[in-house]
Amino acid sequence: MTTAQSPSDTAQSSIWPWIAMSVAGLITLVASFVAPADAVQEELSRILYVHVPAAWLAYVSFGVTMLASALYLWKKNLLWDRIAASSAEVGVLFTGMTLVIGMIWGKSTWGVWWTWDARLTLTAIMFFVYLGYLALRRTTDDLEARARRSAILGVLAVIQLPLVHFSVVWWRGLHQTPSLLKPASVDMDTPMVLTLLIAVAMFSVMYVAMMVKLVELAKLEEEVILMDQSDLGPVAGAAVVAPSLGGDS
Amino acid sequence: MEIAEQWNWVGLAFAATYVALVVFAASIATRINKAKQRLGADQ
Amino acid sequence: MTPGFIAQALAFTRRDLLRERRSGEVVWVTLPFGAVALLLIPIAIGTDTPTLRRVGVGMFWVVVMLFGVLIAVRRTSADSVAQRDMVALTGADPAASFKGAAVANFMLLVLFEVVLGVLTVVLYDVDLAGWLWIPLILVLVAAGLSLLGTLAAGIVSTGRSAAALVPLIVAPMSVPLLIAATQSFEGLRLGESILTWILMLIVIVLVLSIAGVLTARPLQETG
Repeated sequence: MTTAQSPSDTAQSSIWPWIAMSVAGLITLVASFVAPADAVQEELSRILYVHVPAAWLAYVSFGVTMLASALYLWKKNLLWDRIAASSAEVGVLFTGMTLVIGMIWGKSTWGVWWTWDARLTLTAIMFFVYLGYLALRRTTDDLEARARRSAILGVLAVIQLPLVHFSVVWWRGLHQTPSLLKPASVDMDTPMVLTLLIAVAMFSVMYVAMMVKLVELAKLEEEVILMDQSDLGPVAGAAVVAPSLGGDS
Repeated sequence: MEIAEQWNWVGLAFAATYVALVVFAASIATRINKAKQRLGADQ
Repeated sequence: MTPGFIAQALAFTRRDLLRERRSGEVVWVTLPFGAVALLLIPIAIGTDTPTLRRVGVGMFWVVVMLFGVLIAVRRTSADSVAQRDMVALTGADPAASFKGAAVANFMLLVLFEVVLGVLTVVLYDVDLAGWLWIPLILVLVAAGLSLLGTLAAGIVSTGRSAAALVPLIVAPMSVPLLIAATQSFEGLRLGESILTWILMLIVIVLVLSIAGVLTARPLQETG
């Protein structure tokens, strides 16, 4: 049985996103090591050049997932669902990176792997919200149902988010540790700020690149699911037999 | 902290970052190829 | 003539509570499970009274958040797709179904909190200050958690691995409830004002109620 060839079958998978990603990664690397060391943090300040962009993208990914979720509920176009899910995947990556690099920063600068300040705690919570979202998507192969459930969860998460944020900030406000332990509290001079901006911009390029490929992947995986579903054969199969009428045959 | 030790931590942070990015990108590429193979095989 | 919204919601509440009366899942399974959790903790962290007194309230609320949500989960297994389709065909307002279920879960959660609360006071030798406020806090947290759990159960529905997925979804979003609950008890202990936390609980309950009503129909259409 031949089916019409969909564009994604014949089109060459574009490699420009990968090229862009490699270049962006390289630029970040070079900039981070060319930048002058900080007066107080010395070389450790370079960790910020990956920590801050990762954190930034973690939040951006979250925002995109939530926005795309709302747009799916409105427009019912599966493209928005693909964008939402892809952004969630990247979001898990960046959130995880933020936490791990944050721990490396904390251990090297302040001697502790973890502090319970508002930002770190919120990032950890966000990580688990992402995981729940992705886990939900694994519970069904019905594309529309999966899209709608995920979108509703996305919107619910957004609604709860201000409450989570405020409650954590107030909670930490009551137990304020000395400002020494606030991560990334360095006095930033111009070269540092510039390097940081470059790093954030390059990470954003990487985000876009990964999103392009992930959305492409999402479309392909949908086609695989549809293909599997249509391959199941006749609906009732051998279980249904035509009634035999009296007489011949 | 000695400068050498600092560079160790910086190296660790960057290694973690870039390994994660490369592995993630590779997984995307692999999954794309797998999906295309499956779709191509059915044609 | 179709019954009004409240009548519909109450019908759903009655149904869920009847189910609980027949199956006894909350009373015989979920509650004991929560109780066992409270029992395991001192075995793990040490039984010296000062430690237990300090952690008692916090542990109580953690158990409520993690185990109490199982009360909402049981609905996902009880409702088959066919049953839900039947309900939809009756023309019942899906928002009423949500509210009714949430109220039933709320009542069972209050029972859960009260029983485990008494157990906590006994096992952890907790000193309870501010007797008057405690019922209000228990009620508000139960309302918030039941709304959250019912919402999450509705989203997960009859999908695979609902049993652990609903708690996974609820847990991070229950943080405001957890913080408000523990901080208000802490405030009572220190004799400070807890109005901020009470207010936060009320806001949470309102926000979740609205979210539940808004998402009820889209969820029903998902099937």
